[in-house]
Amino acid sequence: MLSVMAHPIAPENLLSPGESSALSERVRTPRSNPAGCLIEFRSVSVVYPNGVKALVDVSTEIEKGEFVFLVGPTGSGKSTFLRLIYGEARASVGDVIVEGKSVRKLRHHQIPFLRRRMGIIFQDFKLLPNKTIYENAAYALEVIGAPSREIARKVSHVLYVVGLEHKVRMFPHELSGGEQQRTSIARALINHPPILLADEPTGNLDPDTAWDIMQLLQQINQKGTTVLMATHNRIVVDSMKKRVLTLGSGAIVGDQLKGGYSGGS
Amino acid sequence: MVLRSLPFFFREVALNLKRNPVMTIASASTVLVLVIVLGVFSIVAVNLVKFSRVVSSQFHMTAFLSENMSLGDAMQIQKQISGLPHVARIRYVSSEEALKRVGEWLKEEINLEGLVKNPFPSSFDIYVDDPTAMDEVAIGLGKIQGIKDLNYARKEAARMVPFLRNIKYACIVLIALLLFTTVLIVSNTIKLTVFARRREIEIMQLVGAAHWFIRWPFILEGVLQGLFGSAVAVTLLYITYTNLLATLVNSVPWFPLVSNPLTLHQILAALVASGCIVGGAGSFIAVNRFLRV
Ligand SMILES: Nc1ncnc2c1ncn2[C@@H]1O[C@H](COP(=O)(O)OP(=O)(O)OP(=O)(O)O)[C@@H](O)[C@H]1O
Ligand SMILES: [Mg+2]
Repeated sequence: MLSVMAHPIAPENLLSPGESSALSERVRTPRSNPAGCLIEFRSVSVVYPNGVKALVDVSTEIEKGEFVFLVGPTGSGKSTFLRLIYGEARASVGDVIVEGKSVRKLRHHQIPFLRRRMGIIFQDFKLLPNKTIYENAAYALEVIGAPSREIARKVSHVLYVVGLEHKVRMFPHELSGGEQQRTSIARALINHPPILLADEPTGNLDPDTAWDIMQLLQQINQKGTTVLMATHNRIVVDSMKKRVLTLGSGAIVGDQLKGGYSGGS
Repeated sequence: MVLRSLPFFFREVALNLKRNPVMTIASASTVLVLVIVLGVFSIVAVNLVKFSRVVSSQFHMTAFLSENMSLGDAMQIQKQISGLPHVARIRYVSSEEALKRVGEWLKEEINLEGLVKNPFPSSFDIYVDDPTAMDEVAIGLGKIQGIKDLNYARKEAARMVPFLRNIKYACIVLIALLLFTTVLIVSNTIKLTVFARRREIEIMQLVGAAHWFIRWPFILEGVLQGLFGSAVAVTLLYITYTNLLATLVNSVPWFPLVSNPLTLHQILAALVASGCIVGGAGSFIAVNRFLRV
């Protein structure tokens, strides 16, 4: 974290994707068999309406069951990368394929079905302000029309898992940042989604709680959920020895199996 | 799917009314005020229209026929009358019908059943295309054999007829304008309340809620706000008008106020229905504005 703050422009940012690949421990080459890959970026560029180029020609593949860290300095395009997968941002050029379907070609009314295949932990939590913690977690089940008995059971369980069982009747504004974050995590996990997108899920948590959450994500991953987590947490990334995708100025500048935070360098 | 989520929708609406009472009150009281305005105007309008109809119906000419005229002779006369310029429509009123008419009119005061001989002659009600031409028509009628007597309103009074006829159309136009304004103001108020919740709508979409799933609670809420507002307004209108009716019938008996409960109930029901529709439709439109991916 600190080193990133001290060097806002990390060395890898100065390299083009091609040059950085020479530095990385092992660069993943596009697979010949696309059937095995769950999420695929095909030369994706994103230009926001204000002209900011958030992603530039990003191509990568994520397989079913993988655990991937997405790292890079602030503003490097991590959140944009995730937003493309759940259809909030659209590729200006290129395409994102999720579970074999082009996100770009999805119609508006199909987007909710895409999102129900994934749990999303948002960087800014995105909790419904007029709903209690319980109702916020339950909402992800209400949208798929789950029976109320099942909802009650699952909500109690997931809130217990994230350690919020004593705050169920409180509203988001009555909670600390970390507690709100855990609510967001609970809502993302409640459906047992095949894909979990986590944008800085430990950002507001103390180290112990952060580790608990990482433990939880790892368990979920071991049960088959593909986890994609954007983070600035160097210690977590370095000690988990998972695949690390490094973004710099909107391009992939490093991609290592069992990598560390510093990515390609 | 909608059915399965119905309990959730009702719970949503109930919770929102509880947690956001200010928004509900804002929309409902807007509806309240506008429905009162609309209601007062509608009631005034139906009364004006009735008044104008009663008054203008007096502006026809009545030609009384000689007594004991045969139907064949009467038909002959009808032909002659229709040949006159400015005659638009003729109606034959037999002496029996005339008796019945008067009987109904006076049913509280006199009982005509006991009459041995019908004192009323047969007549023609003659409607002219231009009330100011009545004098001219009268001269023509005077030349027809078999017309014993003639009765019609004076020229000055007859000038009111076109004016009275237009009252109806003026009222329709004004009510339409008022309704349009009401729809605009109410939907704007509702748009504001939905706008205040646009972030919620965005979040709901992000966690996989389908559009209809987000929309329905908002629509139900809008309908309820419209219902609350218009129900209170209609209750106030009903109480006021029935009291007014009771007073005016005694103090201004000549004014033909609409007292038919059916008409009144229809107006009030229409007001409640439009309150609900405007509330629901306003919410629908407002939510759609924020349902963009
Ligand atoms: N909605 C938006 N409209 C315009 N520009 C945006 C928008 N969202 C992000 N950007 C820009 O796109 C770039 C990438 O942003 P993004 O949020 O993906 O970065 P990030 O890697 O998630 O950063 P952080 O680590 O701070 O969360 C930034 O320069 C940002 O200013
Ligand atoms: Mg981000």
